[in-house]
Amino acid sequence: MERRTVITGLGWITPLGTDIEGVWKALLAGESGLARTTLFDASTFPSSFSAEVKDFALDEFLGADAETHKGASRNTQFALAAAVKAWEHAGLRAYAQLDPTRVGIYLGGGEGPLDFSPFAAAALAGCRNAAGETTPLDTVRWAEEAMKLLNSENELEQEPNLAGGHLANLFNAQGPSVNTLTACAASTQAIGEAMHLIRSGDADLMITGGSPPA
Amino acid sequence: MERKRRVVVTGLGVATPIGIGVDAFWDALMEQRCGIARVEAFDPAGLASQIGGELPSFKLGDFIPKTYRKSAKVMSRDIKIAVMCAYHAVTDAGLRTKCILERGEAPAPANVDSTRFGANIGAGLVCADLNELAGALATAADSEGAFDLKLWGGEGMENLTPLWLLKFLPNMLACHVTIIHDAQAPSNTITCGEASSHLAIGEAYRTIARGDADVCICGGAEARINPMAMARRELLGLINVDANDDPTRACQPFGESRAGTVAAEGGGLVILESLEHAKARQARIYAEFAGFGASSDSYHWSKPDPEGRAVALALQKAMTAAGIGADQVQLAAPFGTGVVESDASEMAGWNAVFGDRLDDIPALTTRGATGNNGAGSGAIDFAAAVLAVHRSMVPASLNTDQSDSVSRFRFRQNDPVDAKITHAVSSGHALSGGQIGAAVIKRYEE
Repeated sequence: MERRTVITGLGWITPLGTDIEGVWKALLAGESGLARTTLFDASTFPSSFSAEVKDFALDEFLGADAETHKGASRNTQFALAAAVKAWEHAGLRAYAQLDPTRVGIYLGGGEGPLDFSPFAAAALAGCRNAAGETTPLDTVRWAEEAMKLLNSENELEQEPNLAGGHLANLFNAQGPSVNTLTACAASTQAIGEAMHLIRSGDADLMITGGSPPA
Repeated sequence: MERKRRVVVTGLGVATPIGIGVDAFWDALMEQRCGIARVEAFDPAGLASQIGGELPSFKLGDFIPKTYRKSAKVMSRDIKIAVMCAYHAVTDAGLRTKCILERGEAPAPANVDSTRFGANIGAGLVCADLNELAGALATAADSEGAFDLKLWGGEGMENLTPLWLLKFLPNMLACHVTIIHDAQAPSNTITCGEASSHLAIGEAYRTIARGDADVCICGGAEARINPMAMARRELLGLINVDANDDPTRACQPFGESRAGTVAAEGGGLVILESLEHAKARQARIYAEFAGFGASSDSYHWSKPDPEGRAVALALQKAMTAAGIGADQVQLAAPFGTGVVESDASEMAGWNAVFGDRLDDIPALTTRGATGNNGAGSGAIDFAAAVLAVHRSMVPASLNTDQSDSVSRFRFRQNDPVDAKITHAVSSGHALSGGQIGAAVIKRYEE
């Protein structure tokens, strides 16, 4: 017989806020989270507005653990913060009998945002010769510049499975861990597959959802 | 527990630096060929590691219907590799999909119901074509030659073609494969580094076992022979940068003096099918998929647990699911990257579960010959293990002759060995992120 699966905790990080009740009220009131883009100067872009998460600070959610995960990409930080909220909402903070090998993760996480400034700088250097003229890309020059300019931690944190790695560490989750990347279908697929893992007996508890890059 | 249907492997499609297609791949394994050499796709002189595993040349047109050729311009190399693997897997399985019918290679009707045909394809972080992107970025330089975001947002970005992004989304591998072969059942894209293939194959197994599909094409593909992918792994310290003069010895899985992994491109897609469906169409059955287990290394997201507890957990779960113990396994197929810490974690996990049993059974890894392409490497290993079970033969594993003192794996050196294998265990292990998947492959019996 199939095991029944229930939802016991929710957490979200949204352009309308980060607490369940506040965002729910804003949704009911028909409020919008869209505004002029502030994370970078988008004034010349075809679209200069977006739905940004405002005033996000990881330590408000993770407390002392924020220091450990401060190198995580912005989307991984959203996943960590939302998971902490869901964990607390589910009453798991005070629950000591959890078997970590029965706790899994299934995320629809995006790849982290490109580390744009050094990437663009290396690209430009690769397209410029010693005389300062623009040329087609020279991969040798590019590689030499890229190895100097790119930051290893920022490159690592772009990997789409890193959010799962951070979550596993924060919650000591040792059960199945999967990341799917199917654009706007990702969270729904992740939650559906998480349900199947509980139904089939592979896990008793799954942290699931998604966090695409900003 | 869900009542489970039996699932079998009926088709294998691989693209590796030592051969494309199962027969060429198997022959190369038998001949102990190595696919690692100096990179030819671009001039690698700016990188410390200038070697990698490149695929033999191929023509995409051989693997798609004529009407689909115009779509090639929105395919990154990762996608092309997946499309090639899919064709090989489907033809190897004797499936008459839309692609095969449209190519005129088999008479209609199709022998698979598209609404019961799914896909689970592992993919990597697909790297943008640097020539294209850098050229566009260079148009947004200010008078000092520095990048100007405002110029980029205005005119610079227009130098990219409108469909540019579609080449690089990881789910486009499954997208093209499912359109070409008309697979309409659940389609998912797993992005968990080197564990992607095993996790994708495991999920396909579960999808069929629980009855959501009858046939799935699953595995993974990734192209890491490009400046961005190679620079990224070099920055992370995962690549052996001291082997430019001796490329065929560069990747030494579980070796005493292993010094990092080697970049590669390639992939593998396999056909999993419910036993009932395979029997009904009288398919050749390679092996049964007997059990799967997955786990997460919670030790750290980029430093694997030296004790390999998560590796042990995944192996144990897979064997429990298959209803077997270590003494019933006749082939160990660990992943093995050649990276010091990752291999140490894997060895510790296998040792904990198998102990003395590892002294008595052969082991197999293709990493020394095929390199590490990321999301597709696990499926290449899985295919090798399936072939070993089906052909009762274990090929030699390149560059495993000087093993770590902790390693108890008994990789074959030189000659292949005849071995009747009832159960093989194959595992995939993400170098970063901590995801692990393990599969039990069983000799097929009625």
